[in-house]
Amino acid sequence: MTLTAVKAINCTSCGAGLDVLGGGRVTTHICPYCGTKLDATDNYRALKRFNDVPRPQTPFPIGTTGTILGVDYTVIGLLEQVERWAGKTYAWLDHQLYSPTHGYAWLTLEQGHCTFSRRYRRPLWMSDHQVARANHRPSLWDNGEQFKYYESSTSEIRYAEGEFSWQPRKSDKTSTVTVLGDTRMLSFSATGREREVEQTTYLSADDVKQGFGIDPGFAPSRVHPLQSFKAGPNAGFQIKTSAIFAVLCLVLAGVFAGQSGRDILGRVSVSRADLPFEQVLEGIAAGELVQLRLAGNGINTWSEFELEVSDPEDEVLFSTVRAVERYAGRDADGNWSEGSNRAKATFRAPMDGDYTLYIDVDSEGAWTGSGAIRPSQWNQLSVSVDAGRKVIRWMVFAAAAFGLLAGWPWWRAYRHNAARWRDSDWVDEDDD
Amino acid sequence: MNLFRIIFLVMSCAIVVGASYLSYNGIGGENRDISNSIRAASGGRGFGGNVK
Repeated sequence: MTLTAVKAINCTSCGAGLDVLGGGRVTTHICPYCGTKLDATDNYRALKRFNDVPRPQTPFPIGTTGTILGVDYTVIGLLEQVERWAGKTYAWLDHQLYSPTHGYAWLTLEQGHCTFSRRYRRPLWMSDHQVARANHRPSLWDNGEQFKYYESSTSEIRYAEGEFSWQPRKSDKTSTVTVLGDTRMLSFSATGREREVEQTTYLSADDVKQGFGIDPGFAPSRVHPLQSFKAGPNAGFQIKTSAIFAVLCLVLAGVFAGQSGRDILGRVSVSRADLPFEQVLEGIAAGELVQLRLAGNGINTWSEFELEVSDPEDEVLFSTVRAVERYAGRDADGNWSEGSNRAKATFRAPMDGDYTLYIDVDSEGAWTGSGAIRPSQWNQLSVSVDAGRKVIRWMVFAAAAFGLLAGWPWWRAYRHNAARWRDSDWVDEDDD
Repeated sequence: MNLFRIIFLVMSCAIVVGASYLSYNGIGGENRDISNSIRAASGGRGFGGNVK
């Protein structure tokens, strides 16, 4: 009888019955009952007691079978690994998997996420020294996919049970450099003089449910670096439709902007002698938006004009004041000017008919200061009125809203990608 | 076409129609310091004997 034909043994330390699941390359079997490490290559001779901590909880106990990427695997070993950094301890569970056709692999549980790792037999390597010497985030290419440095870690085993194709040792520390691509993660691990490259892919909760027939009850609070962004089923529709509506709104805004209202009073020039100025505004329709515009020609002076509008029934509709003021001069920094010789007032007509506009100066004055141009009061005041004005800002708001709706799926993808790299330990001001 | 898309299209059309109505009619374009309530409250500041 060969060793690989053995289906079960009794622990040579405590006598407990142990299933043998792991195939012919298993070298170590750690009894889950007494924690003794047995030498599978030497009649399961007891080597030493391994575990002195409680067994961690896992939804994949030894003997669990399932399918990953179309391959049937059996869980044959369990490792709890820990990393201590910055006063904190991070723990995860590695499950040694065995397939009679595909060999050994790892199923890892960490912070509610599940990943699948296999040895990667490609001539790729990135060392701690390379990372330490790099001025920019190190990267490498494999099969057309770029992998960028993610993190360096040093882990050790806290708990082990079951079968392994190698000899777990509690004192051994494993240094790992991890690089991250869009769909895969590559890990370059070194333990003493041994080194190994592993490729890791993400297993979603659905993958686990379908592959193992169990609901692992994952409730991850953070995005895993390998977790791909899943856009909603309507994301493409939302982007295209919102973009079309945004363009439509901008086109309509342009159309409305082109309809700037019809002239009621076209640029009448008023002199000081014409004040108080009175003008009938003919043919204004109920509900129309009407705008009065003033333009003076003074400099370093201010004039407050009183505007009053009466409705077709000769009742005062409103009275208000608008200032026209412009200042200019020269200082150490050169010529300067501020203020405006233009002013406007906009109202809504409550009824059809002819309105009356009255204008007079309410108050005015001059400003003289260091470097100021000599004050000059206005002598010509341009008055114009139009009605039926449009307000295009509503179309601009709508276009902006549709733009946000179109950009929302992209923004979510951007945030997700940022979350994938959040825990990377690389710090570089030039890093993108 | 699923329910989300139908609702999305209907609401988008409503937004465009609503924004067009507001823009075309110049809603919100009035100056805030110009209120028709002046007419109801007083005869206005007035000058030139035009105030009634």
